[in-house]
Amino acid sequence: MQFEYLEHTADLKFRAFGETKKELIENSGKALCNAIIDSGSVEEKGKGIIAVQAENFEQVLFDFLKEVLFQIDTQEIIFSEFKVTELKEAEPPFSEKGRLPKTKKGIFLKVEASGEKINLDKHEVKTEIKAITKHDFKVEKKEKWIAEVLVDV
Amino acid sequence: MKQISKGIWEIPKQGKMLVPGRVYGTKKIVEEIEDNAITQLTNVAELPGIQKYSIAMPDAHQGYGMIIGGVAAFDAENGIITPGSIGFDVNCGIRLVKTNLTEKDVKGKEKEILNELFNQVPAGLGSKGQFRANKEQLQEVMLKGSAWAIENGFGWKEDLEKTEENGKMQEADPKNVSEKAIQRGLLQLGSLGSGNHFLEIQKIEEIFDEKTAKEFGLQKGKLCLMIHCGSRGFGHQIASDYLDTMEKAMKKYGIKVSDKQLACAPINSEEGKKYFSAMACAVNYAFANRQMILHWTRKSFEKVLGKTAEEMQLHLVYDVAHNIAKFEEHEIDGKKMKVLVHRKGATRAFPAGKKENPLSYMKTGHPALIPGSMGTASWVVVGTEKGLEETFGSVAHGAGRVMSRSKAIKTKRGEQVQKELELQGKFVKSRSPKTLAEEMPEAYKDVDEVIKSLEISGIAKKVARMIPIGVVKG
Repeated sequence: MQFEYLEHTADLKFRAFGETKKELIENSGKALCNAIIDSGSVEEKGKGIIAVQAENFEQVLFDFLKEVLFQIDTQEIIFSEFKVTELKEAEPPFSEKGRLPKTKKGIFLKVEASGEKINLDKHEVKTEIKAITKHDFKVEKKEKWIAEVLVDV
Repeated sequence: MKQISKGIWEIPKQGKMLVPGRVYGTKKIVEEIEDNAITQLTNVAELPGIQKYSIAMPDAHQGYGMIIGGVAAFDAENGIITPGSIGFDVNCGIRLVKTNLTEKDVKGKEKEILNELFNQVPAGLGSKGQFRANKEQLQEVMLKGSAWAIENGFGWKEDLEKTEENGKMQEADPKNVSEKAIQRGLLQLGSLGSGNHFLEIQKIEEIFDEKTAKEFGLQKGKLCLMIHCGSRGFGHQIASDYLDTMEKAMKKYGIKVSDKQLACAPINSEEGKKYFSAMACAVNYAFANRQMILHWTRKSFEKVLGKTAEEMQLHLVYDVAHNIAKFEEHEIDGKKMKVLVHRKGATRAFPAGKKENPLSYMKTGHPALIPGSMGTASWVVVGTEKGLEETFGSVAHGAGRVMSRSKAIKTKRGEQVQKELELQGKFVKSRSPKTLAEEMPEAYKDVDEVIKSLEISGIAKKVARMIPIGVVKG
């Protein structure tokens, strides 16, 4: 299983799984996007790059999801696939047109996201998402990597 | 939890709590409140500078950091400000518009009106908006709020007086708003959003206080219109940005909280002041947003019914926020004190005489607007002196969810919910059947029980009850 949605009274909560940290990131991105528009209706027509840098893996995942949401909202695109191309110790000093937080050290993540422009003739917007929250935000390694994320809808 | 008096329950001060917790509700409401919500209520009671009580309204349920349906006031000198006690959707609020129409005037045209509203008022993500703001316009929106909308042809000048703060918080400072928030805000200005946001045609079914209702312009049998939405991605981004800021600020100022979602900073710190001024930009954005939606609503009615909005008397009754923080003067221990009142899922309800009331409502107190869930009643109430003393002049904001969205979807399909409502003469138009299932009436507390709680505890008086005849969901 890549991800599942959990019971929550007011908001939307998902649990994503991954054999590796990379897979966990990819599946978390999918869970987020599929909550907005059913991934089955999204074609991979174009690609975009999402890059974040933060002090630890947990924060990298959190910032990645925030960045996915930002791109959906500002470019009116929706993604169905994610591929982590880089996940590594950050090399200071790091900067890329000011898009990244100026953390001196930490972890750097680069993801290739595929999807298409939102088109209401073929996509049903199931919900919009207001924000990714840190409420009950959990990233842990059991048999697999697991992330639990509550988003405000 | 012990009962203090009818409809009022207290959680005594214990552990790190600085003040007691209070819950307003009937026995039924209090029995149903989640354990997590109570924990969140007591966590807020620990925050520096909190005054009187950490308060839960009858519609309270667990939220992010603080319950949704909560009120907390902090000493303006030594207290804190926390985005988690305002909510991501800054200035989510309700706007009520009256009409001189009756059900007879729209009979058989309900679907046509809803379709027109659906076309005129963009839902949000993916909608071909009516309006695309540029950065200069957004700067003005942040500073001027509703006034910007009216100067640009979205509405009538009289609308301003009937909006909380006259549609503009003076403290707004756009330089404390991130580029990301601006990017999200550009695309979504003038849109309804999804989830529980709606635009509703309602019939005034019952009047409980003739005199006050008359002052508000509400008459039994007449139709009115209700708009529920907020500051869209613009406000959400500001809240997200400042949660990060606050997390860092807590370390700097040595503030410890039981729940890290209550990240906060002293009101008078650099971080606190910046957040407040950015929040005020989102407040103004939301006022402008609802003002634009009101304009398109008037246009839709004109188009379908072939009369002018003036002829149909589509006058704004009031617009009031339910996710906001504001500096107000309240009496605490017999002394007047300036406090920063955080209302998260709580509606201001100032009684007669309070200076923040618009002139037209100085003698009655302003209308406090409490929407029900989709397909159920909505209410107009008015605040009381008791409410002013006990809850900083605040009441509930709605019904409050009791069923998770995922469970709701499993219970019924959206199409079925739509059919059931139509059989009751309530027409619904939505961009997603899933939303209809998620928002089905059974997923919420009974709004009438919420109102009863406000009344028996004495913090509000009933004025009017409205039932929906047509709903547009985002």
